[in-house]
Amino acid sequence: MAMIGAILFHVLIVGLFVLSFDWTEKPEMAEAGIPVSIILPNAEALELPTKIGNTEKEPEKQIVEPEPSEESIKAAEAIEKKQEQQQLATIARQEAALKIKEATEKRLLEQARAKKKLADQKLADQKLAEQKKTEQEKAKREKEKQAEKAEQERKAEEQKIVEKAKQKEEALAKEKTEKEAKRKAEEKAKKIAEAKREAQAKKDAQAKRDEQAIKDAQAKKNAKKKEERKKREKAKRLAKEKEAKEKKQAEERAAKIKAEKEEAERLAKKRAAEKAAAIKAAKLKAEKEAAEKLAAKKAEYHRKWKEAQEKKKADAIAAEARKKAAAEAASNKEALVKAKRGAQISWGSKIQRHVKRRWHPPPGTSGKSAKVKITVSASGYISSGIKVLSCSGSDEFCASVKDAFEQAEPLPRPPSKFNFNKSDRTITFIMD
Amino acid sequence: MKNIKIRLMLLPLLLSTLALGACSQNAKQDDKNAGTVTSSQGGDGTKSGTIGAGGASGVNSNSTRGDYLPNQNVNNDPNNTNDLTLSGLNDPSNLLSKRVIYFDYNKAGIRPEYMILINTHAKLAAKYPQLKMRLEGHADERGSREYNVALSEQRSQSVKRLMGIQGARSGQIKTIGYGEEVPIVTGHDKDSWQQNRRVEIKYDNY
Amino acid sequence: MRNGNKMDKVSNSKTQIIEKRGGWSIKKAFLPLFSVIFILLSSSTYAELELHISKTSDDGIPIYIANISAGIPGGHNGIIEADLKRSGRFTIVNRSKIPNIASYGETLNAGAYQDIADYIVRGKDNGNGGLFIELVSTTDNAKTNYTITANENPRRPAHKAADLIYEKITRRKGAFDTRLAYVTVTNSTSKNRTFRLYISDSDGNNPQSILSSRRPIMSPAWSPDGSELAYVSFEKNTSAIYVQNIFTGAKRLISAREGINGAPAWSPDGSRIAMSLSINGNPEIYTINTKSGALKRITNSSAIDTEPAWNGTGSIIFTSNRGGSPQLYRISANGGDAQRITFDGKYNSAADIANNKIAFISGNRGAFHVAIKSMSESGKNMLSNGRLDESPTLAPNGAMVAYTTLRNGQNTLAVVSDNGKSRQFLTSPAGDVREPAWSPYLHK
Repeated sequence: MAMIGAILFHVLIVGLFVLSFDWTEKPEMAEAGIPVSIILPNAEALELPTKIGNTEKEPEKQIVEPEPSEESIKAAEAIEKKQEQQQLATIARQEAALKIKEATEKRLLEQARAKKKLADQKLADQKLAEQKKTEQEKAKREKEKQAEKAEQERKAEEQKIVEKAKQKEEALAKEKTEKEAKRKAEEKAKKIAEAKREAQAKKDAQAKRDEQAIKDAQAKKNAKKKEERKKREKAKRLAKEKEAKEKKQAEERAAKIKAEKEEAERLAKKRAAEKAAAIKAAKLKAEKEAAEKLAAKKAEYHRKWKEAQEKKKADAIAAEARKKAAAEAASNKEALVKAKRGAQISWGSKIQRHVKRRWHPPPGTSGKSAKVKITVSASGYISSGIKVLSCSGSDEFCASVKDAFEQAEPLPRPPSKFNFNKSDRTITFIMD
Repeated sequence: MKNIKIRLMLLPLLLSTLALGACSQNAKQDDKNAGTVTSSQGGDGTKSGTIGAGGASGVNSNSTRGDYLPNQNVNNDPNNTNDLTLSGLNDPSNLLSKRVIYFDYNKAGIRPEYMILINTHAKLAAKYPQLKMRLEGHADERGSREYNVALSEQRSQSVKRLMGIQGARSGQIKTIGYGEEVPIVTGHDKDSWQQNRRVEIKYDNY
Repeated sequence: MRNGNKMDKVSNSKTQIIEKRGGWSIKKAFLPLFSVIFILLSSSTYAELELHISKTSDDGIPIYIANISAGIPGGHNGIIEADLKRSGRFTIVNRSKIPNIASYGETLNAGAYQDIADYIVRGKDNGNGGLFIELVSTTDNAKTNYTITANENPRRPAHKAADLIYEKITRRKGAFDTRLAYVTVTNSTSKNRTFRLYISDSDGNNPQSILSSRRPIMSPAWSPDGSELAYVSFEKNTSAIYVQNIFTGAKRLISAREGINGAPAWSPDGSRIAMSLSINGNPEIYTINTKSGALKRITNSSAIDTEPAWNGTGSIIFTSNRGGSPQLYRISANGGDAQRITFDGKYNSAADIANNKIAFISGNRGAFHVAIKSMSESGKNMLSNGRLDESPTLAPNGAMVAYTTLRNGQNTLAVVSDNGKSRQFLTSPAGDVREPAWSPYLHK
């Protein structure tokens, strides 16, 4: 009996322990499980925006993963224990009190729920694992994809580079062409400019050229006329020769009998002579034509030479004119600079007097000095602030220096016609 | 008229010389006096002095430090003050008629030659406790005016102190510093300035 | 950015303008110093100017005062001109330089006179003794108009106008519409000698005697509100300090202690009067509460301590010969140790303080001159060159010093500007003039 009593007592204690365990630890278990389900979407959520950060992401997952597994093992162990204990407890309770039955039922229900939850958790874990696998796969895939992409991109980039290179080449080509075009255009422009510049000279040259052209044309005409005349004369000569031949043939026919052989010979001779004459004429013609061509060439060359000569002259004149203009401009500029400087200095002395009249250093400050820099606006105000670069006196003395400039505003305005820049309007004062 | 009567009555007395009660046994005091008498130290005065027709010029001194102390008894009676009478104040031949003490520039110290004069007046005051006098200090025009008031006040104080030493009571003597406000002469030269640097002894009724 | 770099480069090339200089001395101060030599060190197109400005110059801001008609001798313009000139900050442009200037109310092209004057003043009498004044800058044609109400003293509107012009241009308060108190003596060496205490306008005009005596009157000192004068009287054969209302004539005794009652000076808040008393044997500085009469000893020495002047309400500058010769010392208004503040010369005394400046008498080699120094600087400038100059008193803005100087054997009033550029001798009633005291700004 004592043994049974002791066993029952122990069972009771265990039951109480289980009770207390159920009521206190279990909700914590549930709570411990919850963050996992919370972390998941977070992890996913975190994963999405950081595609490149996979390597960093993975350890986090590994940390997240073992936690639920340990917990689930613990939970499973706990459940086994609980089941055993509860079986014992139910027996004890049945013997001890009916009231606890309801509680145990409830607890059983909760247990079941917990089981379900655990199962769910396991499922969830499996899912998680699967998801992770899939994710890892995904990640792999993504990596691959990325690799592919990267390759593609690389290719694309290469292509791009190639394209760029092409484009560059094209651009270069274009540039070249453009440059060429430009050069051409420039040349053209130069030519045009030169032409323009030479306009005066050309006009004279044109006139001469025109005359020359007229002369040339006349010379050509004359040459043609001569040729025609020569042809005509040839034709006449040939015609005459034919007539003479026919006459001679007639005479020869009459005298055929006399000397057919001689005639044939003569004819042959004649033909040969004719041929030679023709050749001669052709030769002459060719020579004449060549001479004419040469003359034309010579004329053309002469014309060109003349043109070049005139161009040179015109160029020289233009260059001289340009030089003169440049020199004039330079001297003008120098004069302007001098005038500007003069204006600046006389303005400066005005400012000097203006400030001097308004400077009232405290008594007993002989030997004390200050250096001040200001920039005066076009309207005579100090635009940059009164910069006291150095001051050897007391605060009162230094304040008097600043005060002088404050009182002096507005200062005499800088002369407007020289367009003083900021530097021109900046003045350093040594005040002692 | 009153003055004349007094003078006539006291005429015989003027012929005699009087020894003045005095007391300086301290040789050191002499040294001090050589520089300035503005020092308040020492309650001693001079031993004796002489007054009369001879005036200051009749002073004999056996002091090797200087001849300014009228410390020699011409008369053997040191307590004879018969010559110190109020009538002497208006007798041009009496030293008491001389009532101006002159000073150095920017100084309040008494010059030695005025010791006898001051002592004489002091003895008179001592002899006539009802006698009241004012010591009016003045300065020359140089320097600032209020400083000169202070300087002239110090001059009159110097005289008063010396008179106190000689027996005059403090209540008898009033001092006042007029600074440069009341000059004797208006000149802007050394002589004028000397004349204006002074203390005037003024008796209320004489 | 490029422009900026350009500027930087440009600023490296400088041109120096060097001016002939002279050391500081009174003589030099009254010589125009405008010989300017320009040296071009660089032929660069762009160059910054470097200018030299020396303290020594007697050049003032050129201002043209057009005729302002009024029934006053010399006209309002004459009063304004004299005032501005006396400040040592203006050069009055001769009226003939702009002969037919458009009168007040008519359009004025001030810019046309830029080379003649920096400012042009026009105005007119409003018919009741008041003034309409217009100040025009020839630099930017800016106009400022003032309406000045009439005063029983017909000269005061002009002084007020001068104050407004002065303030507009120099950005410092003008002190022309102020007063002077001073003492005169007639028959100084005879029994008929008469001392009189006078009050006049700051330019010496309109003198009015408020007290006369057969015995010395000394050391007038203005109350900070300008309605009362403290002074020393020897009326009763001893010195005493009185305070008298300048409008009602009512007077009260402040101190008639044994010995010296001298050198009264009001604290800037009017709560105390510092003075020199010799109740303890030798002259010391005391303050007396003007309401309770409570006396407080400030100095403690066996020497002369006198001529206190308030440096704000916190400290007092006074004369003492504690070091062997009269020098200026500074002491807290509550007493304590005194610090000597003048070191050169055998005689420095009679300080007067306004606007951080001290005017005082500086004696050297038998001559006494008016000197001025700043409270914050150790050096001093000499402002006068008479033989026996006395009693300097600063205008409340510190820009001018009135003092007395010997002229033709008599002491007369003079006013010198703090920069020494201007000096005017004021007219005064008959007699030897002494101890001017410049009033504070007037409120009435």
